[in-house]
Amino acid sequence: MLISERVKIEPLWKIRLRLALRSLRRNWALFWESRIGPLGLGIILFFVLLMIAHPILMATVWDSRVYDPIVGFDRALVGRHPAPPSWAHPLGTDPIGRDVLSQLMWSTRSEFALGVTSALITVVIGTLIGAICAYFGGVIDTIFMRLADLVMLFPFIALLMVLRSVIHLDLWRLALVMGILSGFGGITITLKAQALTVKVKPYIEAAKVAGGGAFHIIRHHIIPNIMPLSFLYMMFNVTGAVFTEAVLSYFGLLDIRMSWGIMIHTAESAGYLGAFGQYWWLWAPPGAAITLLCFAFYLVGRGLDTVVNPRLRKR
Amino acid sequence: MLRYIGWRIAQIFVTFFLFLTMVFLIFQAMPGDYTKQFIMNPKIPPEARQALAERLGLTGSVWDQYLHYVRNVFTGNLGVSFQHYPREVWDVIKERLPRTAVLFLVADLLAFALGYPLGKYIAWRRGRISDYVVTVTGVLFYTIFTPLLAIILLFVFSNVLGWFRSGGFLTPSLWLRPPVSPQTVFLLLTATICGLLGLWAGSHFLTRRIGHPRPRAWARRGLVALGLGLAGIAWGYSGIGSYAWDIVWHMFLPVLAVTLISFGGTMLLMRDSMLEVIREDYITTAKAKGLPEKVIRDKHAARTALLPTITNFTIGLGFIVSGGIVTETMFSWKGMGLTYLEAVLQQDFPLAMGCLTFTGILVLLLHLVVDVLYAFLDPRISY
Amino acid sequence: MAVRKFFLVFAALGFVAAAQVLNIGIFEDLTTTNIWARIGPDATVWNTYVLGGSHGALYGSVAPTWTWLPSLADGFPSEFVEENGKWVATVKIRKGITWTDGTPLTADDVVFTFNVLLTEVGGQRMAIALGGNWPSYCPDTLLAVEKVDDYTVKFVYAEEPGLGEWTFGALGCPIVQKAYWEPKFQAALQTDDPAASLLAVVPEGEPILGGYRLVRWEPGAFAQVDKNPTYYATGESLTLYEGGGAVIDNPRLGYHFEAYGGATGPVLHKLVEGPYVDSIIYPIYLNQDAAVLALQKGEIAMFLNPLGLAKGFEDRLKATPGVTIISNPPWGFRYLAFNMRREPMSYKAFRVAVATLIDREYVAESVFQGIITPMYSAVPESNPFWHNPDVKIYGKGLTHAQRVEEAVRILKGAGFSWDAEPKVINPGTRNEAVVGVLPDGTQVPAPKGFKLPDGRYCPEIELLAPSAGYDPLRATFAIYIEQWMKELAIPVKANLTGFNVIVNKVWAPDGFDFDMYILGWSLGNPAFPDYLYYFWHSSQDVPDGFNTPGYRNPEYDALAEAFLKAKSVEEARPLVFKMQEMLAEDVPYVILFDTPIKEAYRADEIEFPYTEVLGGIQFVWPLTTVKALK
Repeated sequence: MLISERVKIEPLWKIRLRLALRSLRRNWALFWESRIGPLGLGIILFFVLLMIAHPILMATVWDSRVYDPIVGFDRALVGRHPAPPSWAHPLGTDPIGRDVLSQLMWSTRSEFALGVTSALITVVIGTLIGAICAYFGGVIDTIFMRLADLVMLFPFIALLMVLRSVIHLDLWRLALVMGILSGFGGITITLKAQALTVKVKPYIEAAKVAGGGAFHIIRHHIIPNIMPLSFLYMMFNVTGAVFTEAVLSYFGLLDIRMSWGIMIHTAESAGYLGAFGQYWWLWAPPGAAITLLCFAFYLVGRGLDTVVNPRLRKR
Repeated sequence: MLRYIGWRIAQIFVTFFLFLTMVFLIFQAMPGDYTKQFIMNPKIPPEARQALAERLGLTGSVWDQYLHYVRNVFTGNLGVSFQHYPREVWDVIKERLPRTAVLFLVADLLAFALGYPLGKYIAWRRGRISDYVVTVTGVLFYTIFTPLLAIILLFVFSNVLGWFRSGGFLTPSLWLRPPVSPQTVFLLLTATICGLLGLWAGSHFLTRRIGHPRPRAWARRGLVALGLGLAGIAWGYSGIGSYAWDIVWHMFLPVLAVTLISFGGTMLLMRDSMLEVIREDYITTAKAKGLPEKVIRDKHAARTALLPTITNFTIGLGFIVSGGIVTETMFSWKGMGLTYLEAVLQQDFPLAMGCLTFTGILVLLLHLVVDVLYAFLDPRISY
Repeated sequence: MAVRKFFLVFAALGFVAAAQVLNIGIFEDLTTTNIWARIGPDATVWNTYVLGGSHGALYGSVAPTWTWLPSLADGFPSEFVEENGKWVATVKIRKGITWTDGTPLTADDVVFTFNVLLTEVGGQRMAIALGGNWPSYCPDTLLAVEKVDDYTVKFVYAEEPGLGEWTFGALGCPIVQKAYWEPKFQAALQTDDPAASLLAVVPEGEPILGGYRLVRWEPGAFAQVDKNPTYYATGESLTLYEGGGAVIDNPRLGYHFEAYGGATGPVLHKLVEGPYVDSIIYPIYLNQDAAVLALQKGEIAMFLNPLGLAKGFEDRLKATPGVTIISNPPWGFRYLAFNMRREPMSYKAFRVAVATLIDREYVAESVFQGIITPMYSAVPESNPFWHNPDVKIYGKGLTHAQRVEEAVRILKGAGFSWDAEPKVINPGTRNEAVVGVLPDGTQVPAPKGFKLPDGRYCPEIELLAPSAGYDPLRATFAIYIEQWMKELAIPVKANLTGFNVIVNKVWAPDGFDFDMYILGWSLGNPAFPDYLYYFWHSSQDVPDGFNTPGYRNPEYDALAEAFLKAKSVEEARPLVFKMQEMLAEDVPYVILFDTPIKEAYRADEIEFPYTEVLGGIQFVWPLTTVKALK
């Protein structure tokens, strides 16, 4: 038999695909091994499930007149709102008679939209810029660092007030604005600091000498080494976005109808937060949701410790 | 290095100028103006509102207003506040800045003092139970709803234990005829804190001669303790010590709240950046050499890992003059955060601009400090 | 024995020497101590709480009955007489009133105060230049105020003034001391901007007349007022009778005055002026939770909040021993406004239909569980003298289905139509709906294609309302109204947004730019509802004016003008009744609701002369009749 008949010559793309899959499987194994990574992922999946379950419940089991998160009202419990948890309302009702569980599930969507999106945008921009600044230095560094200064000091609230008078500020647009604004701000300075420590290491010199181009070095050496910090900043930013949205909604600057932050703020303005032991279902579910979601991102980040930094793997 | 600093200072001027222009344009773009709120009062006829608008300089052309404003800032004149007319902006800020700065400075320092060692600790003890417990606690406090934490603290310490008042920065009955204003006390407190910090930083140099690390650390601590003692005696004999103590007492709860909420950030940042260095070759070398764990951790790993943490902390210090809206509201500590927010919401442009100017200058300067620090912390970095 | 006596004396002295201090929490700081600023551009409610007790006026409306009586004046003013083409009246001033520096209050002070306001600076009167509430105390038609003798003042008007310009206008002006302010006023006149200079004066040691004066202001922390030992009304008793009569008896000045029939019938209130409390300290809290905690532990005796207590706080405080909660109707309302300049809001039938659909009782009882009070007339029910209880209420007593049917009928009657008309299915049952299957089996498609009488499809309507974070009550109401209108296929969208955004859109510089909005008003002086003119008179339908709906009804205009010009409240009353009828008929506004003002205080520390009053205790804050119990 001819060699060409015995040995299959595979096209290059297939080989690359197989290598990528293998690397993916290995990374997944490392991720799984960390045990907390999958836990974080699990929590995120749980929230996704909540998000999906809500419209299903509303269409089937739940009467929209009672369970709508914004205009719902349970007449059966008139005079007793906010009512404690019961079979009909697993997490009770809020001061104006709306089901807390329904609000929680419905808001998950906006938290993902707002929190996760803006955090992703911020972190991606921040990481890229931090790495680029550290590597190139000089004029590029100066421009982006001064831009970061300006952006950090930017009057965000004033900008919001201007924007909302010209466009309808829905969740996605707000996420975009927040993401871009944060992305070019303080995070670039801190990530650049980290990238600097990587840049001055000897193996970067070695890579340069070996002929590595700028973008190759940035992509394969610098960025992976600042990624753990990027993941950490994901958590910081998701938390930040959720709380910023809550405070801004409280001052009437946003057009968002329901979110975890608004749930707690509603409880606070109605005066129920002070009786935190008695009316726990008004603050504990949204508070726990915020903590869990942010924690989940942190766990995923930590789970990726060993994936991103081979030096941390057990030798 | 000096050339670098000179070049950076020139950049700071340009950036600041751009900043002023940018803020001016944003405020101009805001719909309506300060006199809009008087529309809701039928007793105020349109002519009165017009007169007010003219007096506040809102009726000139945009370019005129811009020139007027830039000229003012560079001559140090921050203008007159619309809301507090005819009180000058500088006057309003002078009242509120000291108490904001002291509160958030102390809180930031404490958060760092708590987060830094904890970050080192959990990086070193990666994977153990203590790591998880400390991390979870940090994240829990980081993500807790601030008003809730504030209410819990107030409830426990103010109502149940009765140790503190329900808010505010002083006890009215003690300040009926004080010999000194609270602003002065706050300024003196800031000076004391900065002095002690300077002493702590300087103690590293002063104890250079001592060779061994252990006695050296104790000498440093001794110097700082001495400084603290002297400060305490000075305050005690100054005659205004009881007033200062009243204010410091009121600072406990808000500082506690802010510290609890923010220490997690510093801690986790420190941990992550330390993990980057932990498996470096020179660490392995140091371990092979038989150096004690603590020395390796503190002297070798931590210094390089400090970069992102120090960056974060130093730049964060720039924002102590912009305060925190939620903290100030919950603890009735009327500071720059609320001042700025109200100024923006009511379109009191001079006051808002005044607040931003302080934050702007401080942050820009601190960014320079951070850049210079890099060279000291990681000798491989140079300019 | 001697030791015991010594201790008793010591204790008695201690008791006398121990000053009575009340701690009253407030939520915002003072912004000024200058009287010109406080009535002018810095007229905030917080300034008034703390400083309102320092100056007096010739006349005022006394809570809780809002009876109009002399304060600094002696008796009622004379009638107006015509003199050389102008209208003149005189007012007498009580003798024996002294400023805190010992000098007496005389006509000079009154004349000086008005002269400041009347002085022309830069082409306009100082009253306008100072702004704020001053223009209402110095109306355009007031020409001059002259001294007749030390205790008599003459007011000169260009034409015979009505209630708005006289009774509730110039006669309510706060009076300042000439000796203190004249040099400062003269100095201000020399400057470029006299009004600004006058507002900038920091009044150190200003002599005052009132019951309390400011002794300490620590910005950001607290303010303290001490009682004025030379207060002219100390010991003065005011007895208010059920028949409307009032008797003033001041033993200190030897002054006695009877009004409105005097002592006829049973006594409603007997108020004896203090001031009883030596000092009142106002610590500043920046959030309600802290103030509530402070009240619970006795750190303060009460806190003043113009918005009243939220339900959660109310429940917690109800359970706290020593704390009493009172509830009073507010003097204000929250409303829905139509922009009558646009279609379809310009059609009365449309507005009436929407008004019919709005079921206030359902929202009040079911959704808000009684925390809101539905309102129907432009003058709230809590003001019995001016309120018209018989105005038309569209949709009153109807069920949801009946409202829908009635609205459809009204719209059809005016020429509106649908591609698919709304029909009510299973009315009166749990399954009632506006789409589905009729009892006879026919399918009813969802209503759609709402058309104006001329055949065009109705344009999209935007309903602006405050966001849920800012005011869940109005936000929820807006959402319900949106739902109800949508049931009839009216293309409306509720836009819940910031308060400032709504204000900027409604009062846009080029003219009112809105379709419908929900906001609220706080209504000024309950004794004289002049807002009835400002909100609906056609002259106010200008950019930045108050007539946001653009209501132009010549009949209403005439009534409103006559109301302001009325010479007495008896003359004005039927006019006000008629105006309410017209407003309820034409519905430029649909008055929706307001919330009772709930207030909490420690009954073991503070005592009020009355607790039932329109607007609540914080609305009237009766400083000089408050007693401390510790």
